[in-house]
Amino acid sequence: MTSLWVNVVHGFVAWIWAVGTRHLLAPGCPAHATTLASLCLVLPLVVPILTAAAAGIWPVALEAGPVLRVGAAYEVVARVAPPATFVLWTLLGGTTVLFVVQEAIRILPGRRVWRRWPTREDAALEALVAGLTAKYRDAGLLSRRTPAPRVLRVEGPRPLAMMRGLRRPTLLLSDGLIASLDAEQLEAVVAHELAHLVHGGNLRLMFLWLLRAVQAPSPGALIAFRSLTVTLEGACDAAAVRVTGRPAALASALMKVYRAQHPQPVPVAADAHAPARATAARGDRALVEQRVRALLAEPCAPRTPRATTAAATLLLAVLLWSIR
Amino acid sequence: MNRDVRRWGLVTAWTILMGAGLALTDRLIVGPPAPHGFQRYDDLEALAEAAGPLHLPTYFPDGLAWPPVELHAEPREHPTWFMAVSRRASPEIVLWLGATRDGSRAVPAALEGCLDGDTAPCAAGRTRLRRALPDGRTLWAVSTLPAGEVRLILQGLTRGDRPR
Repeated sequence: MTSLWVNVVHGFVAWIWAVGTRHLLAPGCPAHATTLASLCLVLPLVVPILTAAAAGIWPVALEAGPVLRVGAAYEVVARVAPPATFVLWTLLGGTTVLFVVQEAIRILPGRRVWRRWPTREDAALEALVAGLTAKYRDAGLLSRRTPAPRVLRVEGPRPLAMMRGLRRPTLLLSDGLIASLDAEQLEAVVAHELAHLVHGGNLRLMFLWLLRAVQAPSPGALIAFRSLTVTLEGACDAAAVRVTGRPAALASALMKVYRAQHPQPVPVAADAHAPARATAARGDRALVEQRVRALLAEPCAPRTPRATTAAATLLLAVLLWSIR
Repeated sequence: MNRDVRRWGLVTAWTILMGAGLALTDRLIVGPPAPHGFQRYDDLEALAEAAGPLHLPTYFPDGLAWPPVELHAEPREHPTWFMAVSRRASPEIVLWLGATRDGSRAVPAALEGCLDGDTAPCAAGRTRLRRALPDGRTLWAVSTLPAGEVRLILQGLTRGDRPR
């Protein structure tokens, strides 16, 4: 049980550390925010495993005591204020339920509606993707060995651009999206989707999601993963701007797609689901506004340098190692 | 470059500040940390308070003094403890009983190097026996008594009691 509480405290502390570090290191830079959120998911699992594995290997003199003794602190809380433990367990239970309802159920195979959409190949889109992939390689953001992804055109008026697939990614672009964007906007959107490969693609996201699933009761892991999915979009925007050099094109494409998805504000009394749709639309709008503001601000690094990642990993690992 | 150094300095300071905050939280909730290394205790109650339930002998040869003359525990290595038993007739220690957690190598000074490896370089004439517990800990008996008696003592240790 102590391991569970150590993981929860690790997730919480890692997230606070990441928020502070993000503001000190590169405020407003989504690539760094993505890296730090990833660390918040990885290190709370890895550090305790390494600490346990290292016990008995390194000299006794190096076995310093923990700065925060989680097990002892829980025992004190349980002894002095038993209702507080009820609140803590409720928090963990609620977080687990949130994970199951909002995240785990959504990835069930039956819910992947895009599998049923009719698609066709498009030579012009393939040329556009091949050209942008080459630009990413020239910019050093994609490895020479990374092949250009397959691209398929989805039939239908709904505006859609997404990268699907784990090992062999496929870019899906809908007729509705292509018809609504001009050439520069389409290039910016395709560059954004290709940028997901720069950040590891769906394979990396699935790996991080699995780490988040293992830590389902941890509120820190929940916040970190949700933040990661948001900042990842911003990081991909930054990478797209790096290769296209046209932030305004991507910003206008984002606004066009948002308007196409939310043509009119839904009246609250229209139907039973209207309030939920209105809330979701407000959330989407805030996200789009945030991304547009970032695109029109000072350009940001499209990817976190390895030295920065290594230094941040080391500092956070030491901090988490001191919590046992 | 200078800007990067300054930023990383701030991040390091932020990390140290968080560590200090965690330490303060720990002291407020749990209290001051246990002293490092093996500590001596005056009685079995104090030893159990520091190290948790003790494994006490149910077979105890005549001629040995009870309670033990020395009681040691490493509070950080909870529940690592050792007790030294002498003869009634002399203060010479003839038996060490103890429990270590998995991976722990800390021992009282008198047993330094005695528990390492399968053929420990203990003082000549000593018998060293051990018994693995299901929870990953190990019980130890190191003694100058005949090996058969040491085996009986080790086998007869209780499952873990609070002394009354």
